[in-house]
Amino acid sequence: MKANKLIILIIFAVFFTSCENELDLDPKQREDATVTLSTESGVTNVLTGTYALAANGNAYGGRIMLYADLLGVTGSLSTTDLRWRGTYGELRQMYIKTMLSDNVIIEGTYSRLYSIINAANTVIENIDKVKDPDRQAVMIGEANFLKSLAYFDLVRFFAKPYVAGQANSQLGVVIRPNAIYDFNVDLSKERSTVDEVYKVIIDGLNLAYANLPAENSFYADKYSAKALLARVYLQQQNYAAARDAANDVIENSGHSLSPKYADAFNHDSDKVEDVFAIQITKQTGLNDLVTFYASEGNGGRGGDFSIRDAYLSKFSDPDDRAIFNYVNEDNGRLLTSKFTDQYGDVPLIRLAEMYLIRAEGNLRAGTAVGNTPLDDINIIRSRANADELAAVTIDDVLLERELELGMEGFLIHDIRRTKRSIDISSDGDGSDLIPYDANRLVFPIPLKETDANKKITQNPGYGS
Amino acid sequence: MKINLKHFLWLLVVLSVQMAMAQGGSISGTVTDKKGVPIPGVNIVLKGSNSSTQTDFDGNFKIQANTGDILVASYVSFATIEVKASQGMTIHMVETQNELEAVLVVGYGTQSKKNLTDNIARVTAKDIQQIPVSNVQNALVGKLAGVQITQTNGKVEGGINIRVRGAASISAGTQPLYVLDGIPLINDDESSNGAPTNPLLTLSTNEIESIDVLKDASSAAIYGARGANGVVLITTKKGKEGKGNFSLNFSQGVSEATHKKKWLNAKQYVELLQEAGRNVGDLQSVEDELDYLSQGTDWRNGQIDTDWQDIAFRTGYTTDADFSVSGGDDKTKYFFSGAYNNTTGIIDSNDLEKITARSNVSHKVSDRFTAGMNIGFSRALIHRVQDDNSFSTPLQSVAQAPISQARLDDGTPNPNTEYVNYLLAKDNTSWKTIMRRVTGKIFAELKLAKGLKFNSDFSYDLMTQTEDYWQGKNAPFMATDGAVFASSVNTENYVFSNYFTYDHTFAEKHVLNVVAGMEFNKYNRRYQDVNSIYFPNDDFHTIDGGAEVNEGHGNETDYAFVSQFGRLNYSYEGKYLFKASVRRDGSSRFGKNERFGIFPAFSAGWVISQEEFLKDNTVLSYLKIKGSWGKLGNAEIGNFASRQLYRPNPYNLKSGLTFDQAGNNDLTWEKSSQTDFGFEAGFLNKITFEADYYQKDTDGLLFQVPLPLSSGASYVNKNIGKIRSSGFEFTLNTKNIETENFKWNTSFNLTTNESKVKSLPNNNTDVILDYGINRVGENISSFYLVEYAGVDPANGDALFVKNTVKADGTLDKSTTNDYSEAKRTIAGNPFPTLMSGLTNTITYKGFDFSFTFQGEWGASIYNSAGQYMSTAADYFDNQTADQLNRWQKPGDITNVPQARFEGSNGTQASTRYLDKSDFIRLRNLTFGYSLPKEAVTKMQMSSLRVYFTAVNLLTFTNYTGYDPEARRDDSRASGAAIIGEDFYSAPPAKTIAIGVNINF
Repeated sequence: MKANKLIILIIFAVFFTSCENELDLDPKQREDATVTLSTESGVTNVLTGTYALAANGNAYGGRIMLYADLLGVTGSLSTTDLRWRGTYGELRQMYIKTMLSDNVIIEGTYSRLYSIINAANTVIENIDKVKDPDRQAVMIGEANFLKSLAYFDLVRFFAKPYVAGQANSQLGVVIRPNAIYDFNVDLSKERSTVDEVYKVIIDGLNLAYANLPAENSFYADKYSAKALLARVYLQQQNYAAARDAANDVIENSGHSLSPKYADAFNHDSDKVEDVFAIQITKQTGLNDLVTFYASEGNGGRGGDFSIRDAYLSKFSDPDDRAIFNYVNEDNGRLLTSKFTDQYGDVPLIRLAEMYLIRAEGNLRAGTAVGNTPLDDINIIRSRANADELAAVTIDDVLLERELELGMEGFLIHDIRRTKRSIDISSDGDGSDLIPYDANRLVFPIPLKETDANKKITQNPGYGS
Repeated sequence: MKINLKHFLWLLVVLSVQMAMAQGGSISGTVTDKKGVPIPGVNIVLKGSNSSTQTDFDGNFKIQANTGDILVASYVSFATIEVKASQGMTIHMVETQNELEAVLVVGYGTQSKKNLTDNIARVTAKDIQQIPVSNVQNALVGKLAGVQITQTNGKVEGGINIRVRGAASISAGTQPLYVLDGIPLINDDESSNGAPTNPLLTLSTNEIESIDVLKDASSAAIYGARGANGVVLITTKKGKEGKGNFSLNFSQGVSEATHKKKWLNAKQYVELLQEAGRNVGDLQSVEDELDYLSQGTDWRNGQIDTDWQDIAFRTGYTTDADFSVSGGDDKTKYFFSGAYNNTTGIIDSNDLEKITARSNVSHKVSDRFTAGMNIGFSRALIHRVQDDNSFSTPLQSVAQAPISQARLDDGTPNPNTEYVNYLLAKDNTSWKTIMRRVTGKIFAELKLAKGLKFNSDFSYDLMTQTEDYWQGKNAPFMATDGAVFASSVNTENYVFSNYFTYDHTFAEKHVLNVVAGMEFNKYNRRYQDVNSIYFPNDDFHTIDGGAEVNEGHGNETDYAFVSQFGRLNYSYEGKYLFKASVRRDGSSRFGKNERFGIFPAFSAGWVISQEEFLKDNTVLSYLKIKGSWGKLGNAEIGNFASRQLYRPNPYNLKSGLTFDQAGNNDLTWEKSSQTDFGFEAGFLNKITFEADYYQKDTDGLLFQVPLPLSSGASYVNKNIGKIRSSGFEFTLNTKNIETENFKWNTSFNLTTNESKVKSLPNNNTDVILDYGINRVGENISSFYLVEYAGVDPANGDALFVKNTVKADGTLDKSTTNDYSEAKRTIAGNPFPTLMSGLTNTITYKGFDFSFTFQGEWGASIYNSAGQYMSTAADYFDNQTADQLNRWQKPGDITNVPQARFEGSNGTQASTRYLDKSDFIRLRNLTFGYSLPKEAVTKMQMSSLRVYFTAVNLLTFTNYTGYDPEARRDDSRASGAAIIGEDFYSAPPAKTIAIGVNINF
């Protein structure tokens, strides 16, 4: 009897103490940040993870390109190049140029771009964990490339346009010069000026160019950085610098135009024309260009953004690019053939763009660095089996950009840098123009940012 | 502190053992009820001494006393009696109907309501059985003071929100802890389609004896770090000694939506859209699209007029069948039950079929040792539809144009609709969820000495859920010739509890009950899913049919709790009541520095009616005042919420890591302290009245404090902020008429609740989430919206109140037609501030009739789909019928702005889409008739009853949405919004059923 009691008491006492060791549990599919950032493999993986962030639908998986065309077309039925019939109200807001600050799609992109920036900063600041100095340099280069890429799209969408020949002291976006590890402090910060943001972008790309090798598998290489730099200079209307950067890529990168226009699109790995592409697989990444431009049968939503006659009428006949499209049998919409592989890579920078930049740069500067503007344009045109031009003007180059790069995320940015207006009048008579620097062409700073960041200033025209 | 508490608990244990050592005896006898059935556990006291004992399982006792001495026998639910002692005596006890004698389950024991200083709400089997709802929680609505029960919406598997005394948290879990026969139940929503499922669907009302909700700190503190949201104790039925009883129940019902909305018909739709197009000078765009939507049919003359709402809803059916067998002898008691429920939902393609079974057996091995096992298993098969935020969910089809055909002439779904036609999903996809659950415990009780017993329970809860999502070749957005997603999650929870209970009465006056013990709880969840694509044809619905397995996931998570607890109840002469309890919880969820917490509670009561000056008062038959204070925790903060983490994020099939969660080393449970004062009064033994005031302060609220997105993270978990929930609870039970043939009882409850934010992170910075705000001094999760000011009669512009702060600090109440000029303002409360329930039960001879009304006041619902469905044709979505009242010409006075196609005229988020959701509802009504005894005996039954029952039969409300209990269920609606947002959300079902109960 007494023994029984004793046994129970002993068992009871043992349980009292022994179970407390059971409280030390670790997550099984997460890793403590301190562990990740203390090893070479951890930091290396963070860099790869930064590309993975970029491969999301709401970043370089496609939406950032989509926005530029949604904002750039007139949206008026009789004149619009592309017609939006998608059901996402947030994207329709861009099409009708009436964005709201609680637009969750804009918020998603804003948030994603800053995740890329913080990840890139984290890699840069923890590079000492990587032993091989050569490897260190490559990683620094890639991180800077990704960071500049993100800042460039932030400043293009969320700030008033860059205007050459003056101080661009209008508000740009928040610059985070350092990685953030401690989130328990006030992280409020005002936006820097557009000039300051462009400086960060250009410095980062120069650093990337200096550190990266000429060949770096599907990751960013030297010429990815240079090509992006050409695009940045072009946006700043720094045509000479844009021309030289583009020329460097054309001359030295080893890339060439694919023989046929159609070959430039829909592939699973980088092809000869891809200066830099976002890699999509069935397992990783999301090609949102397919989502919004393709038929259901090609993995899209049926063609939310479809081609109208106004766009086709810009082409001369013949032109492969004018017929590089198909009719969705389900709904009769005319859709581009550029994005028909749901698991295909997203071509972010094609070499064709470099020819167009070099041509425009040379033409505006009256030079012929690398080649004449006419030849460069005709190289692009003849690849598409279009008739060659006899002479070329700035308008020809700008038109050629629309023909060659349509639906690839250039439209609004070209409109802004060339100070054109968007004619949203119903019959295209110019009675209702949105100027290039209108408030309503600038994305609102997301409400979540303005709610949590006490120092930030909202863009004009947006409430809270 | 850690050491000290252990010492204290040890002391309790040692003390208990010590006290059990003194002994002696000579009179023996038996205690039975009036039918002669022995009653175990009756307290027998030799009057005027400290000698006492309890009857054993056969009702036998033996006590140190002499013939002729007076023995006092007392037992809960029976009248206490005094009898002269004699050898071999039999004491007959009479059961009392008095509610005060009711025994409540309190966690690690029971207690009579008379001696209670806690606040516990209870329902028993008779209150909840035979209500034709597919889940237990829904049967409780309106019956428990201070407990708000809301099903998210009308889907059969819909998630349930239970709030005990208002919300005790903003961001951490707000659901109470469910404990079934001592087993903390797994209550994880394992849905992967965005909308929550109710994991407690697996319970059946026919196996439940009672449900006790521990509301105040004094009762819930025994559950420590998990008690802050209240504790729901579910007790299953047990066999009773005596003749075996076999009981059968069968019912069949039909259901409809409680309410449908009115939509434009084809003619009205065309008229409004053309007008909208003309008003912006773009009739061509509109007519172009109407051509497309009508696909060659004559939309100008209303050739097609599709009522999409009618297609999405359907008539539902419910079938319930259950049986139970129970009985026992002096050694063994048994209860077996089985239940079947088949519910065809009111939403197209949504149904549920479940079986539940249970076996509870206990056996008395010896006078000192009893052991047993309870085990229940269940299976619920659910056919689901997509969440509310999916284009292919049935109810979103109300957005389709009425000029579009639903199906083509060949019967296939029309693929050319404005939004994807959900009928494509209906015909070409299926979502099958199966929940399987096994919950069981083995238990043993050993009497160590007089009044001292030791209980050891080992319990196990296993929940297995599989989901199979098949999409055929013709499913919406299908590019891979079909796809199958299959997931499986196994969640197990095991609990080992050991505790001592010591009961003793000293000198007849001092009644002591002490409980002390420990508990270890470990939880593990393992999840896997896999997806395959490219199928030969639509006959293959499993992973193996696909040519390529293209995606898979697997993960696992755990937590553990180690706890010690103790409780002491003391009463003096049944007049002065005192209770203290403490629990020490340690959990893996808390940061290393904040791993252990101690949760004490104290309460006291004074039964004034036991005092001499009131004892013989016949009017005021009972009066007790009571008060309690205690501390509780809310550990529902996620398993690893404190850690700064990276997660795998591969790129192009190369491994990668991405920042996942901002860490905070100081993160711990939310601390809640609760104070309760109240009284209970009984009049003429017919009326009982209870009133309580409660105040629940939660400190160290877990917050996902929003970070500037530009930091690269969107939030960090912090314990900052305070909220206070307070209010009154009143319960009134009356026996209006009580005669042999005619009985009429009324039960009324009323609860007020105010849940205010007291302080917030970052120096009380507002925390804004979607349409909600948490601001100091305001209600939790208040709506935060621009104020709609109607329509400018001159030009049809929508107007908004500016609400900008003027130089003098007041708000500028002038209006503007520029939305961006208007500031958001606090616009309403998603929680009711007043809730009430009224139940009447009337029996007359063989007839029984009962009904429950339920009401809620003070809440609002924001219709976030308003910006699509009530915009006076801003786009091609079909519109609610009220949009026909749009402004048309100068001077028109209306609340609906001018129709402007793509004109965003008042379609922005504003109070235009916010509506008060006050309602009163006839929650359920039952009318039954039991055949006379003679008639049924001939049929060899002991009773036969036929009944008619109804749920949600009538609803009285001015709310203009579907239903005041229809809220959005998709996971996007996180944080503040989920509470009071409607987004194409299904109304609940109105069900009427007829049934029969038979007992053999």
